[in-house]
Amino acid sequence: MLLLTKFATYAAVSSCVGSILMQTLRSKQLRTTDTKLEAFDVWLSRWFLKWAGLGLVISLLQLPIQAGAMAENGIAGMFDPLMLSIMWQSAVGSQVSFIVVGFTLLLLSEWGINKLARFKTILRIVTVTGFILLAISFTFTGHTVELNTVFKGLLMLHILAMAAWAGSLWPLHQSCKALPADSLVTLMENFGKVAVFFVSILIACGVLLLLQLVEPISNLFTTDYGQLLMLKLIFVSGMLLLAAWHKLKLVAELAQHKNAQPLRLSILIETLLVVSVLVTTSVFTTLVGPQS
Amino acid sequence: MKILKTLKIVSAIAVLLMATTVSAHVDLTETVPADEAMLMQSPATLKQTFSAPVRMMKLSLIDAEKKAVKFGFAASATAASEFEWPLPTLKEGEYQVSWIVMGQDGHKMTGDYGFMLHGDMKMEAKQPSSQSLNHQSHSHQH
Repeated sequence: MLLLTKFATYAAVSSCVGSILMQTLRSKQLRTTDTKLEAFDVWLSRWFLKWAGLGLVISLLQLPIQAGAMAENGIAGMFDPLMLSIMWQSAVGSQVSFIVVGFTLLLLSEWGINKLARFKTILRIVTVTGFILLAISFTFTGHTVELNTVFKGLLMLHILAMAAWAGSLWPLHQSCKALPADSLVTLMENFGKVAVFFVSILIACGVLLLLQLVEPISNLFTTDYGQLLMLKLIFVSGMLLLAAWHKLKLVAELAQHKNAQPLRLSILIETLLVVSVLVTTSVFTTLVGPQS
Repeated sequence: MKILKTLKIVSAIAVLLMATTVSAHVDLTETVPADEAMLMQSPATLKQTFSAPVRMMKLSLIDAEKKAVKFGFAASATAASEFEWPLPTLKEGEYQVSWIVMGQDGHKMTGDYGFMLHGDMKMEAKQPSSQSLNHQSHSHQH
């Protein structure tokens, strides 16, 4: 249950950040009144709202679920007022409040942009604030609590970069079918440019965090936590190889042949890999500790 | 056989590492009565000392008939490293204490230990209890 909610939170945060990145890339493209493009933009906005809504619902359920798990009293424990109030006063409560406010800001800003396009800049600042609150929420609980402020900052960057990459994959997969070839090529090329930046941040922060959390480094091989981390690294390497192949080969081919099918399939595989990465991360941050 | 040898080496290294890691995790450092204690009279209090402040979420004292002894435990939002609970007079037999605490990072830890209460002065052979403090399962929440 805890695993499921954690995974769903990861997925929701990723999808939201990824959708906004895609929206930004789309808005950088030439303004054409193509119904296909408009339909895709509408889909993207709805996709974002769906995930932000799901994230909000899950985060509201978080406190009862945690209270039930903590007291081991099953369903009754979920609504035990004493347990709930203790959870609320603990790190879990602070975390939940940040997540709730974060997703609420995302929903409000996106809804506002669809209604009042004039305030776009201000509303996008609200969106980014929401993202920052969501990233901060990850620093309240778990192994990284012990870390100092610098490493908490690294963790936040790591999460946002991960979210930008992981959350863009499904919209990119959809765009292969939804967009006309020319727009698709520019979108893919632009994504390829920003992805290099995100992936560099992701890996640099990830490595620094790993060195900090896994002490001594041989724990990577000897502890469950380390082995799960290694598994994650294997999945991530797979994603990187695929991503490089997309950027260097498939997108170039797409520009020539206008056939998005190979790229679409390949992005689907990458999406499955990212799901594996997030599942693995949910497991090693929930069930096992660096020292257990 | 090579595999066995490797396993031995790896587990030996693992044990050494476990002992030397700078750990962020909390341990139950001391209990009164101590784990596997043999008592001649009913203990006045039940006491736990942890290596860092935790919130005690659940604490139960189970007698030999698997019945919970009521001693007025209530969970509290206040974190502390030491907990002490006055006990009613216990009848002789084996007892088991189970605890669940939440660390400051929202991290859940559980464990149990046991003691024995003798009514008379006849010392029996010490029964090794299968409970050990190191049996701590972890679940974290983010």
